[in-house]
Amino acid sequence: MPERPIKLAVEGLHKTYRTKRPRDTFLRRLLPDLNSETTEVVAIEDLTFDIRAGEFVSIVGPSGCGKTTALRIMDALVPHDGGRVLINGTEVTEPRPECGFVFQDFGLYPWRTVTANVAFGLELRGVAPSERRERARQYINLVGLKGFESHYPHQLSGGMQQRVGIARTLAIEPEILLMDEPFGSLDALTRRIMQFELLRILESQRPTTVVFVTHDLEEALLLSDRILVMTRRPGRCKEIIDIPFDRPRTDAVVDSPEFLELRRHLWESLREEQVGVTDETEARAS
Amino acid sequence: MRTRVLSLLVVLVAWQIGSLLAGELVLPSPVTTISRFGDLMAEGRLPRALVIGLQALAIGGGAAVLVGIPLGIILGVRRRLGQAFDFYFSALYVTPFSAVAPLFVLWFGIDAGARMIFIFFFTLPQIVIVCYQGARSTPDRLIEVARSYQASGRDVFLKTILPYEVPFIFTALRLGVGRAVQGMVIAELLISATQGLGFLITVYGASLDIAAVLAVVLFIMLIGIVASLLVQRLEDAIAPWRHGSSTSGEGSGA
Amino acid sequence: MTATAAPAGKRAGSTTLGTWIGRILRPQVLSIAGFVAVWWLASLGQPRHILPTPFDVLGEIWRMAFETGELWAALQISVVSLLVGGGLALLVGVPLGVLMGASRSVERALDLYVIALYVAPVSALTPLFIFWLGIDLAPRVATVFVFAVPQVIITCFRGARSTPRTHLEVARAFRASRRDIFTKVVVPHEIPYIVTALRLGLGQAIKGMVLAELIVSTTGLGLLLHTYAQLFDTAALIGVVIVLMVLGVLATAAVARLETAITPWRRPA
Repeated sequence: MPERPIKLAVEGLHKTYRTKRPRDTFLRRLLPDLNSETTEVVAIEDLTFDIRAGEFVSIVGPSGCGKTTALRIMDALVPHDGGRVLINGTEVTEPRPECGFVFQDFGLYPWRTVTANVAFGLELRGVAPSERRERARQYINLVGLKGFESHYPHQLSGGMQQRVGIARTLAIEPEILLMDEPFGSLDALTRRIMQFELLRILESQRPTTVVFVTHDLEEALLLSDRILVMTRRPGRCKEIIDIPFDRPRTDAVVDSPEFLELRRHLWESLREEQVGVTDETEARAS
Repeated sequence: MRTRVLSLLVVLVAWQIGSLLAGELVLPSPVTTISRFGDLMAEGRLPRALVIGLQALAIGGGAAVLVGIPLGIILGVRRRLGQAFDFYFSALYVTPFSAVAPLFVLWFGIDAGARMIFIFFFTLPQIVIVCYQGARSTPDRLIEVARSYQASGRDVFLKTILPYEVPFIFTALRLGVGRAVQGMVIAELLISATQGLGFLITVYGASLDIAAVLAVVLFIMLIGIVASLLVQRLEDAIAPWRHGSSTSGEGSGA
Repeated sequence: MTATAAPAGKRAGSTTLGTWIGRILRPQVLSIAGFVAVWWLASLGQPRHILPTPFDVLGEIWRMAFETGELWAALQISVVSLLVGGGLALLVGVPLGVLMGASRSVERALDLYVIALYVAPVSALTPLFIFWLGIDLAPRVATVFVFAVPQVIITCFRGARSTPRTHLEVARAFRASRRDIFTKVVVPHEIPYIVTALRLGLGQAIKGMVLAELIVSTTGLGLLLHTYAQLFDTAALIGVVIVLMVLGVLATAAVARLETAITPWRRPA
């Protein structure tokens, strides 16, 4: 990989995660369905890595290792306790215009049509209505949803909903795309289709830098230039693997011996970590 | 807690100021009201009235519980029956039932019996509806699990539907207690009592003893609140797993 | 990957006699017919002032509605208190509920009173209102208000508090300002809850209206009910009660319709 400038740097990130159950108020005693907020302790410890401009980096790790939290910290959606994140050399303290976030559960607004959802970010930036309609149309076409402009999210399948989510994020033309298990809630077939769709879309948008959190090893191998493996909690950087396949990538990549070899390596690396997590979870459950 | 104490203080001060502005005769001050409440308790009029009201509440509301829970479950389990009869209860629930009071006076007179019957019919739909919805909303998946273990119809009911129903029964009880207290007050106000809390309000109102009326009214409202909170406590203690499930049968009448 | 948008069109030309009979013989219809039949049998041989026949009652409703017109006159008077009191409850309750949902300190400051009004038998307040406000429109409006307002507040509170966390997070990821988050996320999410508040509040308001009328009983439906009770005209009394109940159900159903019409993004139930 030629030396390109560092786009995003994570330096010694720390995160201690405590969600306190809010004190019961009278109203909440009466409305028990508002009462459930789960208590969860996730921690990241001294996480450090760099991502260069135009790179596609996936983060994989055992369940609960803090990979999603790390991604959220990169866009300042979650506060952190130590270390820092630099984008284009300046420290991230609030969501940055250079970043676009794609959510696992899509996060579409149910009261907005496809067009209005895609135009959301533009609307917040004060883009004029006619222009944002035009740009929304352009990105709806890009993700292959032409003809569904005035549908509401509930009228779309999961894959189509995430296409809207991706279009909404691309519409603000981010330099860095932060994707949090974007295909995690889709069925296997749709997921594979969406992976190639993402590759196709990114070809036309390059050079976009992507940070992609997933627990699907094949997905990570298929999409990435590099894969960052995190340790089990407290999450640290275990290793970074370079993925050598040429772009544009096709189905053939998946069947190559190199791919299988890399997958086995990843799997073993992760299993070591996951075993520890599983023991811990079971110990806590009993 | 501080916010809450502060807001209580604000209301008390506003009440006091209001009473200074409007005069003790129109709006008695908090102190007057509380001392009048003390008088009523000491004279024994309030406790006597309360006992009479609570008797009607216990019998009418208790009967509604005894009838309503099994009725609701039966309607929920037997879908056909449910379809045929559920809308009577939702209609009773959403309609202004106090309109029936004059009719009850014609049929059942104006004594405690009439009030009990009123409370019974006032409370019943609430309990039936919540239990009905509980039994009907038992997830098919849970029933399928039981079936896959070759559970008999009886076992499906006893080991799946009924346990699933328990939190709903508590919700029904909690909402039912609130309903019954409201029914009691409406009954006392409308089914011209010659005794009881409603009668006290009428008598003191006629003699313009507003401090006494205020004391009785606030006392009744306090009873309603305390009763609801007590059942809630009981529910937390007996069915702790229900936290997070949305069974607060609001708007269930539709 | 197909859109589920196109609703399955109604099959044309299927209204055969069989489907008509099936449509008519629904359980509800059978059950109402059964109820009326039982009522009719029970009323045979009973004096009219104890239990009139269903036909007596229908005749009375007809007379009050179309011959004397007293039913509409009474309704017109009563509905004023419903509209004023209910309108006030919305005006006060919606912003208050949203505010309580949006701010924890506002919630703490007010929750006691909302809960108190919600669970306490507020009908006990009507005699006080009569004392303070006279026997005209004001005490009826006040009763309607205290009946409806806690329901409205709680529904709106529930709505504002239940804004999904991802909705808020998306807005923040897109660098929405606090104001944008409120107007573009919290408020649209709140709209269906406001309509629900309208429906539940209306139900409560109707109850408050009738109760206030019965206690004040100088005008409107309350006076009508009182008069017929004094006359031992049970058929007319039942007639008024039935009309009230039907109107209550219809009004609630109408708002429920509005509820689905106004929020097209909601998955049809």
